[in-house]
Amino acid sequence: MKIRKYSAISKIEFKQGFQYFFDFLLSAFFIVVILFVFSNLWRTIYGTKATIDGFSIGMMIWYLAFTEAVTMGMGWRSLFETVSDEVKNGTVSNYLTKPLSYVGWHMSKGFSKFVITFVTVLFISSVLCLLLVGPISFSYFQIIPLIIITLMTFILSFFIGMSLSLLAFWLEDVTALYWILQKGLFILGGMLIPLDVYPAAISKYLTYLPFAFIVYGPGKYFVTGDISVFTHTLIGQIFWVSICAGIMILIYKLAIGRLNIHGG
Amino acid sequence: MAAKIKRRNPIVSHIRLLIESTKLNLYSAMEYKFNFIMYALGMFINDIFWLALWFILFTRFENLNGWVFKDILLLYSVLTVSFGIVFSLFGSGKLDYYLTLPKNVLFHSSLKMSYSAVGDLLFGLALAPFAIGISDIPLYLYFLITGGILFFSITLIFNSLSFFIGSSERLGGIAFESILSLASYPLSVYGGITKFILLTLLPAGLISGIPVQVIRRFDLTWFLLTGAIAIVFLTVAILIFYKGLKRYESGNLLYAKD
Repeated sequence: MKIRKYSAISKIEFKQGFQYFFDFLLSAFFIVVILFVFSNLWRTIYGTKATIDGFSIGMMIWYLAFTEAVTMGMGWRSLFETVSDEVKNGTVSNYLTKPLSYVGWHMSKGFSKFVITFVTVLFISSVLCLLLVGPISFSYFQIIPLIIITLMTFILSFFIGMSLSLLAFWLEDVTALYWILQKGLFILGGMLIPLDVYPAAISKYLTYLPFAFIVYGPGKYFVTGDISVFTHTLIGQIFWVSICAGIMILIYKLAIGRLNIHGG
Repeated sequence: MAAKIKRRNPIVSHIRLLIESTKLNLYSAMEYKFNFIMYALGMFINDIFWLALWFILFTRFENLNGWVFKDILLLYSVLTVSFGIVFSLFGSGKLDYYLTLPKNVLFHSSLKMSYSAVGDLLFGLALAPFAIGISDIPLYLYFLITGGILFFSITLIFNSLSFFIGSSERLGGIAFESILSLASYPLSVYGGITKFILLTLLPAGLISGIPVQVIRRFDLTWFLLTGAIAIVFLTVAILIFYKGLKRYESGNLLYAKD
């Protein structure tokens, strides 16, 4: 009996894997378009300049490839949609009777998706970057620190995403919040353009916001390998993870307190 | 004895249908006021963020192959207003319900409002006074129409793929987003074969880039070509839709119209 049960679960996982694979291919198509547009844009901006604010054109494109992979991996859209649906149709109550945490369930699922999507998108965009601008210098010693801050990126992004998704208990539909949060990450977090390129009067404040520790910090470390960028990013991540975890737990407790379940 | 059946001109009756449907959509939006405001305002803020990115870039670099920040304002105004008009009036509905009704099935099944598109529309209109002068208004309106036709046609082509390859929602969504992304950047950053593709097969450049260039410096050839290509796209889209509709088989879906 046990074998049948586990083989059924394996089959489901396998099918889901294929479903994701098609999504990856489609996401890959979109990232090809974005990288292509930005390589054109940066070529126009760079003209004959070798570097802008310490970034060569190659570093700019590789930076974008990394930050895009992180952003796609985070899966904020799917998290917002799922939580919103579960609140609207009441399935959120199914989790409350089980010996598992609602937030923990989504975090575990989100982590698998993050790893698969991040690795796949980064691989595909790396191939494209090699074709568009060639390689950039990357040391093997960067790998471990990069893994650490990328994992912290997932945790921070999940806590922020979940905190706002849980507002569905009050608002029901949180799609508009997702748009604003996503654009906040794009612009305030320096996802498309590193914060170094922004006017100094703005960037000196933006580098301390949580968005910067999700994309800008890890992205900059990826292309520069600068250890001071790594330490600054990791400290900022630890600080914001603690703050955001507290906020998320508070919102969750308030949200669950609002829930009325009528048997059934 | 036989009651006189009053036959209306089909064009007039479809325009009346559009007006009535838009009214109903607006009543529905007012019924769900909070959701409507949240979607429209959310999209308005979303668009402001994009503009902020360009503002930052132009603060640093001032000029992108002849394009200045005011051109970006015009690009976003044309893009968001033409997008906003089309998707405030049209969207995809459930096909089965409309197949048995007397109005044109494509037209009738497309009458659905997107709340967020209203945010785009308002954003683009708010931007227009900063981007164009009074003498530019006729050209601006012309390109809103061509842009709207292109948006409608592209959406229809991607949605019609479902007739041939089954569920194409995600594929169509990504392809549409890609065209929208390509249309959100100055045409001056593209060159060679890319520019050619963006002005023909994937007409992102005709939706926003060419309008900006022609409004800034009139060019009769591009003025006429944009209109002609928009009509070609609309014709092809309608042909694909009806070709697909012939293959359509329904599972006797029964539901109440929402």
